[in-house]
Amino acid sequence: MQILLGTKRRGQAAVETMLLAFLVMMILMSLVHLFTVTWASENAHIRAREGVMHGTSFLVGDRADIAYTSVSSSPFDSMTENYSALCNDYSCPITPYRFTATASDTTPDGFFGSQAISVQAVIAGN
Amino acid sequence: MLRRRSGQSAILIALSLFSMVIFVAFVTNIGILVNDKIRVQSAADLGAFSAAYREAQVMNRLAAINYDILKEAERCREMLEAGEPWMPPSCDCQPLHPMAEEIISGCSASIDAMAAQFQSTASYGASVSNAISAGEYTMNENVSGISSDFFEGYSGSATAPGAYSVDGLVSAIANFSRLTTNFNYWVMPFCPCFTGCCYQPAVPSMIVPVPSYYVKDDRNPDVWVMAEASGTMEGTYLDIAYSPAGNDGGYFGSSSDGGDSDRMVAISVAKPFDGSVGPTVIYLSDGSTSGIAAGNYGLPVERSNGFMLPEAYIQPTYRARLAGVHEWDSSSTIRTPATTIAQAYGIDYANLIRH
Repeated sequence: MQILLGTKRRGQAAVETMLLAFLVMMILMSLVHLFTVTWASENAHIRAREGVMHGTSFLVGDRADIAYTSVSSSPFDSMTENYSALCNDYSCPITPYRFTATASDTTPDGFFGSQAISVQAVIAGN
Repeated sequence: MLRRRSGQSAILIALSLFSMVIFVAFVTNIGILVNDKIRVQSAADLGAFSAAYREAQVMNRLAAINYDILKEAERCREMLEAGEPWMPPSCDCQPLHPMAEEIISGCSASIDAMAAQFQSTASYGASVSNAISAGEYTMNENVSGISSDFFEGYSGSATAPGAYSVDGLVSAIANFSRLTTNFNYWVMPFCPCFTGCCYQPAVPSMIVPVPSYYVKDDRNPDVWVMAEASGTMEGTYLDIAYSPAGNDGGYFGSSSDGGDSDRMVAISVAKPFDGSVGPTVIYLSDGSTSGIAAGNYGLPVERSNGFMLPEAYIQPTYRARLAGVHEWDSSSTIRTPATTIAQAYGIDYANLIRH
């Protein structure tokens, strides 16, 4: 009987440990997911912010991430045909402006699925 | 003894779970904090950029008006200088000539109209206030997803109302003063003589001073703009700090008192640059004639090439750029970002600004 009880007790600890290990694993995976969400959010914000300020001019080369950044319009960006938006002659009207860029990033497809984050940055004045 | 030992793992698990919940809350809060920080910083950066962009538009417009003034003055002077000396039609020995005076009067009126446009464009309300509004509008556009109780946007300028003026009259974005251009013309009057009317042997030159284009007092007008975005924690923030007052936990690790010390603040400074409204007065002064542009006075008649130098200094090419907070006008001790916020909110943020 004592041997049986002892055996049962050991099994109980094993079950508890397995449950705890599962919990710890879930917590760790959720923390990793949270980290990737934060990382993707930062990426998207920075891409959108730089995109709307500098246009597509900086989105060149292999590491340009141009696939994730869409610049609708930007000051001084010749590629979005806004290079002359401010003033390049002696008329220089003061006009309303609205420059926008959208950037996105996606978290890795893990246990909690993949999460897409999209950010729009705006520079505007009436 | 065996029974007592059986509770050990339960206590261990309870303690582990408790610490894990704390850990999860801590990591979640860090994630929210980082996310909020980048949102307010992006909002501040874009807000400052937008304000500087509007100021760049204003400065370029001022340069364009100044260019028009300069060209009009040049055109009028060339009309007066062209051809033979003016010959009054009557035998009155009068050195003034009605037609020349009419030209000068017309030119003066058209230049004055453009100068009025310059004043209204440079006025504080149309320039700095407008830029500040653009900055705040941009910040609000960039944080539309954040509840209004989280986010506040404020845009300010180093240019205090009344600090700078146009001709000392109109509170403006920077100091501008108007130079006088001399309109000269030759005159060959008829005067009575023994045989009727004779040309005056001496050919005098008439000089009529006319206020014309604008110059800057300072090489670099102080046109900084600053945007400040701030927020308090969102409702999703997990409160793990103890607060006797029952408030939420603070962003920065301490228990919240519900006041401004728990606010997150992001600041950005920007400025228009790379252009020029007009010449700086020191480059045009001949050192002896105050307020008269060098090259635009002289006897008997100064040719219009005196306009080439000021024209070279009119460049409507202002653009906006983000600047470091340290680039804020260091000579101004009262319009730093921290004191500007303090003036706006009545809060001393001097020790709370984090970058």
